Amino acid sequence: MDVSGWNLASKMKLPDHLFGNRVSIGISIFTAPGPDMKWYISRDPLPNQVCIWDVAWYPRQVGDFNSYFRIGYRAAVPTSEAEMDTAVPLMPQIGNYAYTPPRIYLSTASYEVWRFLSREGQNTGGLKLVMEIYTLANISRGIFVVTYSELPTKVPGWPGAWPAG
Amino acid sequence: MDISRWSLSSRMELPDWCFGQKWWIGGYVATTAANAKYFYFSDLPPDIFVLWDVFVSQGGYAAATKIDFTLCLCKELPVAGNIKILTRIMRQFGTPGQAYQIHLPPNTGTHLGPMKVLVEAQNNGIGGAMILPSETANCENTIAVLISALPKEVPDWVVSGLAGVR
Repeated sequence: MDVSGWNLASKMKLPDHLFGNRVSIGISIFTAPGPDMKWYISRDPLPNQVCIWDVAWYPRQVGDFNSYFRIGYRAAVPTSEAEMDTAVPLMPQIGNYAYTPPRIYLSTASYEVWRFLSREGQNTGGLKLVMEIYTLANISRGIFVVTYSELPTKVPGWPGAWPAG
Repeated sequence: MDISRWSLSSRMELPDWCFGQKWWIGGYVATTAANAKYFYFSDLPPDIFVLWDVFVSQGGYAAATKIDFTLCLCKELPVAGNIKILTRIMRQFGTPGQAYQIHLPPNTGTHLGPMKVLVEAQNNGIGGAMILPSETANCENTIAVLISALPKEVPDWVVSGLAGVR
């Protein structure tokens, strides 16, 4: 059954297995000793609509201080904070609201994997994944991994019986 | 099938995917030495929501021995005078009457989930308090919760698999 015309919220209520293949995109980051700000972009664009299953940070080198990051969708790699402001944010709700737009605080003081497992449907506009990292004092080095799947466009007949119409 | 009139406990028995989107809300909390810091999340949860995970991180500590914190329902930033009487989220943690009922290690990021906890927010937001006992430096922290709304409709075949659930 074709569910491509369903809205995003209805598609998100389908069982997990119908979302099919889950893809992980890794973005390696490497800052100079802080204060330093860097921007990165994924190799490939994302599908128009995605379900975000996980955002994870795997440190490779840690300092003794802290960093901030933003992650979002954009066509080209930002080269300034102002350009990063134009990216569609991926996880704006847990940021530091002292900044506009908010930045997410990240402890880079220990070899510790941070994971944000979720199940959030998002419109990417077919853009690429971009991120900004700002380190306050020491080097920040590691990899951010975003795991996503496309939203279902076709499902077996039985789940398609809902929502009616 | 419309299940919006089902009891909350019956709706909680539905498969996880029926709950649809799960998203993070939370905030940044800057603590100053060993002083209590109160916080209030800018993003509001649904009026009735499911709590799936709680994430607490703290970094750059000097002398902290632990993180003490609490999460509660409130309409504005909590203060010292009301933090003990606000409705606790995860009130099953710790001892009633304590200002901070959740104790975690410092300089780490901790997930308290996975869980599946029904919370009736009653038009409240989420706030709380955090303190780093023995700390001598200012620290930066993140507190976030993974939430979803409750299902209001499900495929008929899901319900036929839960005979007598109502």
